[in-house]
Amino acid sequence: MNPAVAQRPGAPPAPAWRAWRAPARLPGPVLLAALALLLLATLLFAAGQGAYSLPLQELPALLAGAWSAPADGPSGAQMVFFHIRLPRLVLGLAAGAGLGLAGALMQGLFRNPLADPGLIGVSSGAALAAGVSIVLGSVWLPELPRALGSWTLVLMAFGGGLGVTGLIYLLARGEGGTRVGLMLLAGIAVNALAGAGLGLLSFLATDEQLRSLQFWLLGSLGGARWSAVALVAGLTLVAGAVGLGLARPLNALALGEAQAVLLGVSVQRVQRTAIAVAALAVGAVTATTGIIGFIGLVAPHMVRLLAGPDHRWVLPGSALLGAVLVLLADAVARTVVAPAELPLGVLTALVGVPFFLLLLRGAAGRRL
Amino acid sequence: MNARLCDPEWRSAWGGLPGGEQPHWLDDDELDTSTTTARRPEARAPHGPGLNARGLSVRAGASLLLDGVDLHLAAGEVGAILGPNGAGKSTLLSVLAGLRAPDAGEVWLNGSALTPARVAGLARQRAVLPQETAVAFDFRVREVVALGRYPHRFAPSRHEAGIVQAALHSTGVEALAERCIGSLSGGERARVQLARVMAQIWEPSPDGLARWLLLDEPTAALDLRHQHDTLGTVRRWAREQGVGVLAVLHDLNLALRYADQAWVLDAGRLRAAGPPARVLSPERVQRVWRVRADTVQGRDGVDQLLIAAASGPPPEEHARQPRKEPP
Repeated sequence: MNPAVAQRPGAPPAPAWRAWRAPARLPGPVLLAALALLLLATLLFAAGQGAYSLPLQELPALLAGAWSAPADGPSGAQMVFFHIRLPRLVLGLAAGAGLGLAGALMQGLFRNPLADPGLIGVSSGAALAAGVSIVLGSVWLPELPRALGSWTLVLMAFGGGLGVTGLIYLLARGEGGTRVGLMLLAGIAVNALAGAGLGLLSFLATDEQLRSLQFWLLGSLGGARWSAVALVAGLTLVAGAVGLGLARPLNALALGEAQAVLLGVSVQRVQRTAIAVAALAVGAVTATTGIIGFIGLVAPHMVRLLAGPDHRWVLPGSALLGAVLVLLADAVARTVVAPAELPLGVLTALVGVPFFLLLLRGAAGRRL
Repeated sequence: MNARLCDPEWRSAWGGLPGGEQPHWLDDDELDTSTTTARRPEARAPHGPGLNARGLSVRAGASLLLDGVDLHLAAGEVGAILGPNGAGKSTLLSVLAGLRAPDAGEVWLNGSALTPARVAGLARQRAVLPQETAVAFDFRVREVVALGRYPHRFAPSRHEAGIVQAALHSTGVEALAERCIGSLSGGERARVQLARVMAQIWEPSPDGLARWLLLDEPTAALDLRHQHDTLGTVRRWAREQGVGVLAVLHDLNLALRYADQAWVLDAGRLRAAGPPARVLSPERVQRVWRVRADTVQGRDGVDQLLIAAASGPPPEEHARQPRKEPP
């Protein structure tokens, strides 16, 4: 302890109205535990929803049945659960976690709560790159899919996301932090370009390719196959492991780049890692599900409202809450018009856009 | 400063000015032999302990923001960088902090050269209070001050929580600890940031090297009482713990009261250096700031300047080309 400044003789006590406290916050670990429980409940709920209804009480029997294969082959319920429902749940989990984490990372990096992979064009950049490889890949680079297999799409989407994130970061980064207006305007430009590019691609595409492109623009978990799901889940885990390690440096970065340097943060390394990790998560998710907007905006914001801006809680909390939101949205998407499905991206936009407008109107907008 | 420049031993140690020649930027009345280097032996060795800068020049486009600035501050002293707007004070501070590499000259801190690669490693030895303080997101005051402990995360002190509390106390922001930083006034935010940078170097470093506190206009947003509280606190810190404090100040009377050393910058050049009472003569204040001033003695015997009125254009010998303001 420091005796020199422990005493401030003559300092008057602060007036009582100054001692006003901010609204209470949940301790970080409590929030994470609550979100984990919520995620579990959502998984159980979503497992039963869909064109083929699977009541909750049948789940234990289904799971048990997986190990003791009955003589007459798997039942219909088992087929639905293990080959359609479960991969879809895992994909939703990974996609939501990846998008939530990427949103939180980008907001920490840009030092602004409006940075969202969808809004600033990272998702559409990834989708455009993936679309290019679907439609033009066979013409220009026929060897690529053969050499990389199912990695082609993911790698292309990752490249697209990385390019857009880096570009917007370079554009919007200013002396005293991120120039938010520039960031959002650049996002509009990238989104417009990607929209035009995908439009052009759909003009060139064959009927089969057109269906895939459509799926990219609207976002859906319908493409869940175990091979793709495993890839996304693996990459999301990698992104999570690296991304969560950035929590403390991102906290220091909230003080500004210069102060972060003076506190001993290797700012450039942190920035590059955050950009790469966010692009990896968004790229992997977008390559498999198409553009699912606003999860990266809504999840981190809600976590900050509940537990404060400390990235040690915001990063994992956003991943958990993102997964909950995507799973819930998907459960709704495949039940409201069953047996048809609503596109998932449409649903998240319906919730996300009003939320975004409220944010713009509130404190975040004043700093534009 | 000038005394040291005139000391032959010191001069040869720098390998700089030939004997008998005055540095061009020093006014004649700067010659002062009362402060000898014998009192500050470390001053003889520019690479010894202390904060040393030699021949610092910084260029921005065609204009010189700093032009051959020398500076030496010993640990345990309070230094003040003074000068009109755009004189290069903040530029000098950022060079001394290692945030900006000089185009010429070098900085030595605690006996080793300050290079960009070393800046991060110095986090436990020196802290810098920025002029602009914008914290992203609604961190609470206590969390912001705790961020100052970031460099110690791998080797935390036994008193981590106590340090944050004591730092909050030392700048009088304890009562604001649970408030969101965004809800505070400018002056309150400045005091929170000061608590944060003090928390950063709260305890002596285990390797025994001196700690340094660089403050860019710490009093700009503060009311009168907090200006004095703040400078009193850091001076007590300097005296009792041997922390070297270097502050950019606008209020010359605060410099007269709290600083041991003062450097007057004007248009990127050092106009004077030495104890503030000698450096801040009414004549120099008129030349550099172009206001008329008289020296009066405060009730406690400290010289203070009474500013009478803005004076006319600068005297002929100091007429200069206007320079570009630093960004």
